[in-house]
Amino acid sequence: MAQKSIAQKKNSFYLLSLLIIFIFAGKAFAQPEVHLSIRAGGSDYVGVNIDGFEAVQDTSGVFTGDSVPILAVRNTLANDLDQSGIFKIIALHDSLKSQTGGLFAQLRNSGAKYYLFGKTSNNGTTVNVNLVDLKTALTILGEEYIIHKDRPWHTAHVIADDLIELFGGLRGSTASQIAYMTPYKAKNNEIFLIDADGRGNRQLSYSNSLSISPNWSPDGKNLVFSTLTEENWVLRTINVSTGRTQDISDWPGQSLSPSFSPVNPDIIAFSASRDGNNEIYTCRTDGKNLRRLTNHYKLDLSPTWSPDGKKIAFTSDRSGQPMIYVMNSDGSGVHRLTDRLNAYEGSPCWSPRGDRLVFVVLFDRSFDIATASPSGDDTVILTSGPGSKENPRWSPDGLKIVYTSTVGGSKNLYIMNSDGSNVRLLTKGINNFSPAWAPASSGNDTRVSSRR
Amino acid sequence: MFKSKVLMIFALGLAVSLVGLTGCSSKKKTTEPVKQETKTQTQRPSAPAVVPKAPERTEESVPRDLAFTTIYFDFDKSDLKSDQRAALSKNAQLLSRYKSVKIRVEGHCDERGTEEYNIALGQRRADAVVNYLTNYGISSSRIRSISYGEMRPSDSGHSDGAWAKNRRAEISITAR
Repeated sequence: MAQKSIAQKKNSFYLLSLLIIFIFAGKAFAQPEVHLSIRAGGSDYVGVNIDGFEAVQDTSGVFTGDSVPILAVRNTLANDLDQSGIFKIIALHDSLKSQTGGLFAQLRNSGAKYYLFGKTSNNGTTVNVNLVDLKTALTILGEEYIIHKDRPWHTAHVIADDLIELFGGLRGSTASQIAYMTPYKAKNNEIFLIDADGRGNRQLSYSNSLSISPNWSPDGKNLVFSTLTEENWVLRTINVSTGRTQDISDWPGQSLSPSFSPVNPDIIAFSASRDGNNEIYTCRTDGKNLRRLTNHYKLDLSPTWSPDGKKIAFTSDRSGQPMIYVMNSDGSGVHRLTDRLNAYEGSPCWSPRGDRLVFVVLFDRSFDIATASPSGDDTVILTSGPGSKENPRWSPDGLKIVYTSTVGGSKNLYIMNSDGSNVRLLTKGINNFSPAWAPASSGNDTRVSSRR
Repeated sequence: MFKSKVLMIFALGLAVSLVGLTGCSSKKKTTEPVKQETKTQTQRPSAPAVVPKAPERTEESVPRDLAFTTIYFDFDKSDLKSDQRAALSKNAQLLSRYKSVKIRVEGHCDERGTEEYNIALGQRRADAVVNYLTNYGISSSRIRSISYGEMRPSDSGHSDGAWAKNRRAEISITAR
């Protein structure tokens, strides 16, 4: 299902994309056979050939240092790049191996654009990584990374995120984490965190109250969410490191679906019924400077900010059924996002790339996930089949979407690429829902230079 | 001579009636204590009689098994359906009869749609029931409302049948 979900920007970046993977058959480890793979529908993906990343052998064939972590780095790195939505791993075709012209020519002829080589150093505790442009033979990335012995996958994620940032413009999401809700005791939900690779599942909140719809602060330090007290639904924040909570509001009625402004970390947008029916407001995180943006007697909720902070999309049933609307962040210029007939839509989320919104659409009796451009053109339905899919949220690089689906019989979190491909299950168990993808991890704990 | 005779007769008559009266009353006095004694012989002695505590209001006492009927709704709707009118009416009558009872109306939804949309929809369902009751004449001071959205399903299944059971407003008793 090849989609042009990242249109012109991607083309200009990735027209060069070629990728060859060159596997040294002569080396001692058994490498998996990697076959020439050209993505159906075109060459939108950047071809990268991964080579090296091997443990060091001395002259008598004995491995020095620890061979296992570097293998894990290579395997995880290949997987991260292959799933990234930008890169594709390609093998050098057998028929081209004997061609004259040298390795780079062979790789170029196989369709690769870049050559990624890793070499361990410091007795296997770090790895030097170079990315070479096969056309110019210039090294466009050269970095040294610490190999974390107890979690070599994290090293791979940081390398992958650096490469994704280089080609995609936004820092990659493979090292980041996802917050979500799951019932802890029989009645109430708590906030949990899980790494984007599915590891490290851990409980964050111990509130013993019913909570929904968490959202991250731009610095990744806090989550804001809505929780039920004795009488009302109120807004609350929780510090991700300490678990300490802070109530923002105690207004009557329901205060729901808060989200931080991406450009002003002191401001949240949210929906509240304090004036009678649910409207969109902004306020400061201390609850002051309350400002009402919408003014309609029907329901307005689930605000999501554009990455430049100038617009807000939200759900409203002012036309009869819930649909996605867009307005300026001062409340002016309200208009429908799409002109789909008889639409029943909800749960909008604006891509951090700015060029797409993801939302849900009701088909028959269950929901599927769609994206559209901010002007409402080019609506693409990404999911289909059994199960109801809800709460879609973008990864911080705008290349993936995490969402809830009941396809497995109970609610669980899934991740797919922004074109709907590469669906994979993230959580285990049952009743895992309402995900929110954290801002990207900096990688400063792994990159030796750490100059960023 | 005539006047004095009349006076004498009058005085005699008065004297006789006075005697008669005193005689009757003393007779009554003597008989009543006798009657009382015969009555009280069968009763317990002495202590002041215990009077059962009378209720401070005039309502009926609330039966222990008092319960209200759950009201059901169509998908994405909060209007009261005609087939729910009987249940609504019965709920109102119960509140009207047992005036000390206070309630909380709790709105719920099936699991489809965002959690926050369902909080709002659940509140609209609760509000619909509250409005019916207050229009009936029940004081709004006796009624609170809240929405749980989809978070407290009655049936955790994913079928149409399960969903139908979850689209509801429940009434719980907060004071008797």
